[in-house]
Order: sequence, then structure tokens, then C-alpha cells
Amino acid sequence: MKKFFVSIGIALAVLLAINILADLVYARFDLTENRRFTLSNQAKTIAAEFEKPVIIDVLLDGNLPPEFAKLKKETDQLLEEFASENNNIKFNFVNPLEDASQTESVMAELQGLGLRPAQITVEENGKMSREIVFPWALVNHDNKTVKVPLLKNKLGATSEERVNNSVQQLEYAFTDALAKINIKEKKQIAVIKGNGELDDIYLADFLTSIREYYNIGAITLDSVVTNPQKTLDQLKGYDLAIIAKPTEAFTDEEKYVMDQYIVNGGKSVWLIDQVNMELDSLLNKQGNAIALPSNLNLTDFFFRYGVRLNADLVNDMYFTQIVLASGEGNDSQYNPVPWYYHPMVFSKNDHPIVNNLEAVRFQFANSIDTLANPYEKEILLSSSPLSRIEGTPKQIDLNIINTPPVKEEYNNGNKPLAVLISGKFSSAFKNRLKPLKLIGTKEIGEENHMLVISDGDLIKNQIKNGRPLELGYDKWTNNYYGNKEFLLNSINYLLDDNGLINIRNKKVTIPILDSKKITEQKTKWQLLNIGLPVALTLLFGFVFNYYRKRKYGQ
Amino acid sequence: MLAIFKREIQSFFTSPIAYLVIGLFLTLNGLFLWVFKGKFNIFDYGFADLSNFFLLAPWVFLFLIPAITMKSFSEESKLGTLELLFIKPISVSETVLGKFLGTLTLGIIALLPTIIYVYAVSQLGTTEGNLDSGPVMGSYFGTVLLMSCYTSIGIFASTLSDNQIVAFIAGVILCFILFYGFEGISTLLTDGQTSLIIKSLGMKQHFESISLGVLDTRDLLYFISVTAFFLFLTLLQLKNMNR
Repeated sequence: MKKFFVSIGIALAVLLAINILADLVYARFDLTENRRFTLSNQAKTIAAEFEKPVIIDVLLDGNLPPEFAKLKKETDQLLEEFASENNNIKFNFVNPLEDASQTESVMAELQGLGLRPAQITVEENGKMSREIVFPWALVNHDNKTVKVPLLKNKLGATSEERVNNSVQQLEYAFTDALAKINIKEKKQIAVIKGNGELDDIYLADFLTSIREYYNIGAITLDSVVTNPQKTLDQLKGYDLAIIAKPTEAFTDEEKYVMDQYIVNGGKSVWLIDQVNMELDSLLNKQGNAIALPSNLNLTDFFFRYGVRLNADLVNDMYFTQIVLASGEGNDSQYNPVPWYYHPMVFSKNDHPIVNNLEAVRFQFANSIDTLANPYEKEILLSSSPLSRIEGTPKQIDLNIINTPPVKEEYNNGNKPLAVLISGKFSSAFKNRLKPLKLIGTKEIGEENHMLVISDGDLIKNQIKNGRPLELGYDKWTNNYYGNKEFLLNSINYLLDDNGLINIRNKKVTIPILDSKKITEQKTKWQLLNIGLPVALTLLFGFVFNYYRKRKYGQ
Repeated sequence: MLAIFKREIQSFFTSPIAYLVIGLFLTLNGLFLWVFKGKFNIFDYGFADLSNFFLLAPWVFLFLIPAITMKSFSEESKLGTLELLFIKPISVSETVLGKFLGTLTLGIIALLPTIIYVYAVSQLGTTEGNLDSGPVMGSYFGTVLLMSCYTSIGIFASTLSDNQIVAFIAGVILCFILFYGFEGISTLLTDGQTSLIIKSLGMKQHFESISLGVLDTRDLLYFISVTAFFLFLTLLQLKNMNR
């Protein structure tokens, strides 16, 4: 009997030993089609570029709650793969709150660096306690540091779901950080002011997002009146200009300065509302307002570059929802309702900027006509085939949500909403009387791009309690749209950073069941999936026994 | 060994037990996945993958496999034919292995018709045939490994008592502890590191890891070593009984 237990003990020890040894030497084989668990080629290329050491400090160590221990393990596995691509990449795990006596000061210091902690409530013996974790990594290279958020926040998700989502985007987070830190010289982006453009707080999320890749400065065109030459010279120092929803007309002098900036090689992104209309204007007693064309005095300017922004509104059957309150006081209910003037625009995936892009939300967009001229015009986004345009002035009434749209009227779709113009731009003021005398002007420039988007709100983030929300997030319906990614890709593309677009585009596409097929063929598949396996089993049994009887029967 | 294996298979398929077990497995799965409303329903789930099936299958097998294995040694022990085992020309280990492979084959035969689900899901996808084969292959492979663990545990349990009911319940309990028990214990711990280690002792974590479509040598070795461990225990127990 004693020997029996000794044998069991030995067997158990062998079992443990085998598994511990297996943990030391192992191999992983990725069977998935899109190589979900293998580093992408972009990530490998970016990792291979470093010639000086890169030190990655991951602030996850110590006594972690289970979900975060998992996040740590996955991070470790991923970083090991990065490290195997390039010996210069080193990483280690540290516990920032290790020294209990200095917890307060360390936390203040980390938060000062912009590292937001994650708070988790842990239940132990019926007592709830709060734990604080800093799910961040710091990538250090060449005296520069880039913060990597390991935890991706999603509203309403449990901490376990949050960690699972985060694990999926770890590769992107680190690849992005490595790409960021390896940018040798940051390009310059100018935000144009002075013509009633969006306030900074509405641009805040987008500008913060691009700050790590580019330097940002503001340029006021108002100074054109006093010192146009200086304004142009300043502007020329920038690689790209963003004009976000101007509401005041451009003077000829201002146009000429912008024109010369473009001809001299400056890239530009124009987000233009040709019609004055806001959802807020509708929220009055009558529930209606009149959409009027706005005069920005840019028509001739865009005409020369080959596009015309029409003073109309796009009404699309592929819409995004708005939320309306009904009832009063405590009885009010908030209901999402269809809003045909806010198109949900899907990309056609034929250009790197819009490849694999989530749906983009437009709000009171205008249609764009492309005109015949020598420049190449690529339509990046257009309204759906089931859309139509409505001329202005027009009264827009909230009550339209109560009348179902007549499908037959939606026969004028596929209107361009975002157009990329490329070519050797010649001045819009060529062969014309110049409004100003400037030095360093050109009639014809080098190869250049400009992007015209017919909705100023595309770049506008919402605000909650005075703080900007993420661009593309709608606080009313709790939906995310691809606006930010679209603009990021656009800017990366215009500034020739294709590598950045490509790492963003590695997406795990999730195959979805076809709901139409399900409703049509549900019963068929139910019968097949239950009946056939059982029938096969019975058939097998019948054949098996028949042969056995024949064999042994006689 | 081959003789035992053949005899096992033959005795299964000449008695109604095999058809009951396989039929029950297929009907249960079919109903939960395609008919009943609930968290396993694939139509409601909406994604073109089979993760729901592989979420359900380990639990169904948790009961079915001990049901198949419960008689393997307890019956012989009750009928007194166990003694014959030790004087037969084939060795005890070959008998154990034969019975193990026989039961495992039965399990695999039960699993085979479910390939129709794979076809169904790939046909119903928005893009036909868009199903990612990696996780599906991984999951089937993982299920076979899981079944081999269940089978060896079930066979071991059947040596513990000559009462088939006792053997069945012991088998289910042992399988449950190894499949889910460790994970259950790990949720009670607050220290994440220890909790992860405890969790990795259980089969569920290794099964899920293979189901994602990543073949990891650590997961393979885990299943193989656990199977071997219980087969060895069976042998030990049989030899102990002979004394």
C-alpha cells in the first residue's frame, strides 16, 4: 500500500515536471487566417528599424487583480515577439507603487505625466476595497518617451471585457508607439484661424491625437490685412494646413495667401459647410429652422482647383441617429430617431486613406461636383446610392422623423462628400489681377495634394461637462464613428506617412451571419443540423450491424 | 491491444448504449445551438464562428464520457472477470490502452457529424465561406484532446468501485474539478499572479487557448501528460487491486 502512494507521488511529480519544463521551451503555431496572433509585417518592419536601444517599461507588476495579470502576461508575450525581431528592443516590468510609503507622491507624479490610473474594486471577505493600477507602458528611445495605453476604455464594459478588448489592440498600441518614437523630424501642421473656424475645444481631441506625430501651430489669416508677406512666410513654414469649418467669408487677399501657400507646396485639408444649418438651431419651440447657403467667397477658388461645393443638403437613407427628448420634466424620455441629414458614410476601400475604415458620420453635408481640369480627383467618400440632395434655402423640420421617407425619391445618390485633388497645382490667380503684391509667389507649383470635405462638423468632437470627448463618439447614442481615423489617415497620407496608415489598418475582421439568410432559411438549417447528424448515426449503426450479422450470421 | 480495442468498439456498437450516447450528444447540441433561445443560440449570437458549440461541448462531454467509461472496469470487477485480466496473455497496460482508445474513438465518431455545423455557419455568413478555419480546426483538435483527458479520468474512476453509479459520479466529479474546478478556485483569489497559476492547472484555460486557433506546445503537453497520468493511475490501481 505504501508503495502505491509512493508511485502516485512520483507520477504527480513527473506530471508537474513535464509541464514546468514545457513552460521553459515552447512554440506557438498560429492557425488563424489573418495571423491574428502573429506580428504583422508592418510591426516587424517598424521594429527592425531601431539601431539604438529601445527600453520599454511596463508599469504592470506586483500584486495584480486577475484580469490585469492576464493583461501583463499578454503584454509580456507580445513584447517578447518584438524583442525577437530586434535585439535593441528591451523591456521590463515594474511596479510603480512598490514602495508603500511613497504611494501618494508616486501616484501624483505619474498622473502629472498624463498616465491615468485604472481603479478596480476588489471584493474580499465581503469587504470592498479599491485597487489602483497604472496600465501603461513607457517606450524610451534616444531621450524621448512615448506613453502607451495598455487599457482601452470602452463605456459600460466590465473590467474583464475591457481587458479582453485591450489585449486585441496591444500590438497596434506598441507598433504605433514605436513608429511615433522613431519619427526623426516632426512635420508642422497649421490650424487656420480668423474666419470663424471652430473653437479649439471642438478640435481638441483631434489635435491632441496628432500632437505626438506632428507639431501644431495656429495661424490667423486676419493678419493678412496688416502684413500679408509675414503671414505667407509663416504659413510656408508649415507642411499642412487645416481649415475647419470657416463661417466668415474669405477676402481676396486671404484667398491669395492660401493659394500661394498651396502652390508653394503646402498641403491643405478643407472642411467646408456651404450651408448654414445646425441641429441645435432646430431645438426651439417650433422645431424648425431655415437652412441658408453661406457665402464663404471660396467658390471661384475651389473652381480653379476643380471642385464645386454645392449649396445643398444631402438626405441619405443610410443615416445616423439623433436623440430627441419627449415629454416634460421628470417624464421626459430620450429616444434615438433616424435623422436623414446626418449620413452614415461607408468607405469603398479603394484608397489607402479609407481602406478598412469604419463608417464616418457627416452632419448636414453638402454635395461636391468635380469639374474637368488637369488635376486628378479621387472621391474618398460619397453618399449612399439611396440618397438625394435638397436645394436651399429650405426649411428643416424635426417632424420629418414622423413621415417615413419615400424610397422612390432617393434616386440621386452617390454624391461625392470628400475629394482628394492631386496634381501640379497652378495658382487660382493665374492670369488674373493679383489682390496683393507678395514676394516669392509662383504661378505653377510642384506635385501636391489637397483634400476637400463638404462638412465642417466632421472634425468636431462633442463636449461633456466642459471637456472634449473623443472625436467620432456620439454621447447621445453612445456610438462610435470612424471620423477620427479618417482624418488621421488623411493627414498621414497627405504628409506621406503611409507606414502609419498601414499599422492602423490591420484590423481583425469578424465574419458575421447574414440576417436575411437566417430569416429565410432558419427552419431548413435547424432540421438539417439536428436531423442529419442523428440520421447519419443511425445509418452507421444499421450498416455496422448488418455487416456484423452477415459476417457472423451463418 | 488491438483485440481489446476491436472488442470495445464492437460491444459499443452492438449495444444501444453507443447510439443513445451519440444521439443524445447530437440532439442536445443541435437544440441548444440552433433551436432553444439562450446564450448558446448561434442565430442570436450573430457571428459566423462556432465558439458557442465549443463552449457547450466540454460540458456535454463532461457527463457523457464518464457515462461511457463507467462500466469499463467496474463491470468486470463486479462480474469477477477482472481476475481473468491478469492471467490473459495480453498485459494489463494493453487492456487499459485498448479500452481507452476504444472509448476515445466512440467520442470522435460522435463528434464527426458536427462538421455539418461548420458547413451551416460558413454558408450562413454574409460572405459565404468566410469562416476562419484556424479556430475551427484548433477547437476540434482541442476537443479531441479534452475528450482523451475525460476518457482517461473516466476509466480511472471505473476502477475505483464495482458500482457503476459510483464510478460515473466519481468520473464526473474528477472531470469537473480538472476542467472547471481550478478556474473556480482561482476566482476566489485576489492575487492575480497566483490566480493565473491555479487557473493554468485546469483544462478549461488550455482548451480555450487552443480554440483561439493558436497551437501551443504547452497546451498540447498539458493534455497529453494529464491523460498519461490518469492512465498510469488506472494501471496502478488495477495492480493494487490484484494484490
